[in-house]
Amino acid sequence: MAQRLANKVALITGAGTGIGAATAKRFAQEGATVVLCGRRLEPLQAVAREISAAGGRAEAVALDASDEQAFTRAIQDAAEKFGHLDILVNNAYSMVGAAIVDSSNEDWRANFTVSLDAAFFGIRAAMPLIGRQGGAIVNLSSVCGQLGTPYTAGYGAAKAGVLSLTRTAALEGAPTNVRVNAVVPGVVLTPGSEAALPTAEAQNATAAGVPLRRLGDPREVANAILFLASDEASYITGVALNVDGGKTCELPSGANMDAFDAT
Amino acid sequence: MRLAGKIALVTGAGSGIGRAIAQTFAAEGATVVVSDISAESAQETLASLAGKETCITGTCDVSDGASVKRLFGEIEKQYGRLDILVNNAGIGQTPGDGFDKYQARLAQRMEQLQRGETPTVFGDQIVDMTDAGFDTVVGVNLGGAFHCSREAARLMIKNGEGGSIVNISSTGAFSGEGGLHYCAAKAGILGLTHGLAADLGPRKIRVNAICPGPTLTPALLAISEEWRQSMAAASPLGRLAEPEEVATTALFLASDESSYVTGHTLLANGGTYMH
Repeated sequence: MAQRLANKVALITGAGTGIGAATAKRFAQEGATVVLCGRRLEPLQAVAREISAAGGRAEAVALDASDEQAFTRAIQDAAEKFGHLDILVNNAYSMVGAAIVDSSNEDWRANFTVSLDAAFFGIRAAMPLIGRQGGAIVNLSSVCGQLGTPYTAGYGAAKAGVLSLTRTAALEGAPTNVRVNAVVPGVVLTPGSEAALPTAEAQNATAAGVPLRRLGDPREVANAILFLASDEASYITGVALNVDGGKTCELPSGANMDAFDAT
Repeated sequence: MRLAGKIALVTGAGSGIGRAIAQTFAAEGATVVVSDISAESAQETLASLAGKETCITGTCDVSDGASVKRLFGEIEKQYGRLDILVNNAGIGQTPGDGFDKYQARLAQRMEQLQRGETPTVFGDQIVDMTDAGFDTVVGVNLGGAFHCSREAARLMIKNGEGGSIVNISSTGAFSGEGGLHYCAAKAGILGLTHGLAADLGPRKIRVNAICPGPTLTPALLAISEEWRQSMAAASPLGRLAEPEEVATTALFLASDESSYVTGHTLLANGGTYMH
């Protein structure tokens, strides 16, 4: 079977843990050269080592994606070093969860610096480079950007912003065959969500509100990102692909009978 | 191979998107039941499949619940199980539905516009749409998906290993382009998708929909080159879809790579419509 990302160069932000790390490994399996970006070098290097050990190609670049200059430079460096850039995955996010009435202006704005601003910086820098030969940009949104979810006002607004940014970028990228799509995860077991749902009871109660009755695995989100990044999605642009176990086709409160039992 | 060992039923597999899905699934190792209302076209598709020795055809009118039951009886007898159902069978219009009168008026209106006149003719599609025409188009597109989903769910539940149902809807469900009966049926498929996904999720049966945009199927090859070009120009990607591009989308939703995706409507329309 031919590798689905053979000869492609992909840059992924937030690649040290969770969905970003799973995506980097999945891309490498399918033949891509992967540039891993994130704030902390150590987890990036660990992922890069794992990829190399499995016979893949990866490189770690420590940066804060909300640092416009550093992020832009990393994108340009990747294209220069490997000769081309084909795929950008805007996965890094920032989140300060609190009730609206308890949130300061700083709390509110902190949700946007990476989740939305960095996605914009990345698209702006990468679109002309990817447009040289065509390719794909995948932005990570969240069901928080589609549903109302208490204590995530800023995060949800930023992730809703990512969906709008995706549609507009899709139209601007289409003439040079740069497809731009979003993946919308539900609750997926990452270090971030495990901190928010620290007990088995909390995780089970959340899972009961999802039609598939379980939480997602980062590798399942990585597969959806792979699909959108690959040529198999060649006629798909401007979409929001939900990977949420059906969360958004039931009542947002998870008010099915199983959820009643679990809470 | 991503569908190794899977049994997949594709309806409307005698041509266009359905045929491409059958071919893609077979190439990924699935055993495909090639169903179509036309035995000859189903046979043609079957002959083109990788691993065709283990595949079968099944002539079926999906709008007829009894016909669908017979097809599933055959599937159960042959394979004892079903892992994947693609509800692809559909029709855009039917003789006597009144759609031709609407199209004639649109052509008249276009002539008036081209002559620089203020148009006095309007589409008014619903005015001439007949009850029988509406029922037939909804009966094939939506009734067919209902009949097949019911039988598939029975078989998948009995088997206890879950499964994946992929419903082919249309961008027309949102954009309203095409026949009113067709758009209504295709929008109905999305409601069916959501309801089934919520209900069958605990059974590990995933249910998703694809909304293709304009795709180079026999139906689209039958219209004028000029019309096709205007449709291609209206797509942000500047071209029409190949059936294979819808097929790879169906492959994603049918395979385990979409194991946490259910109840979703996946647009595959080149950015023609976004939401």
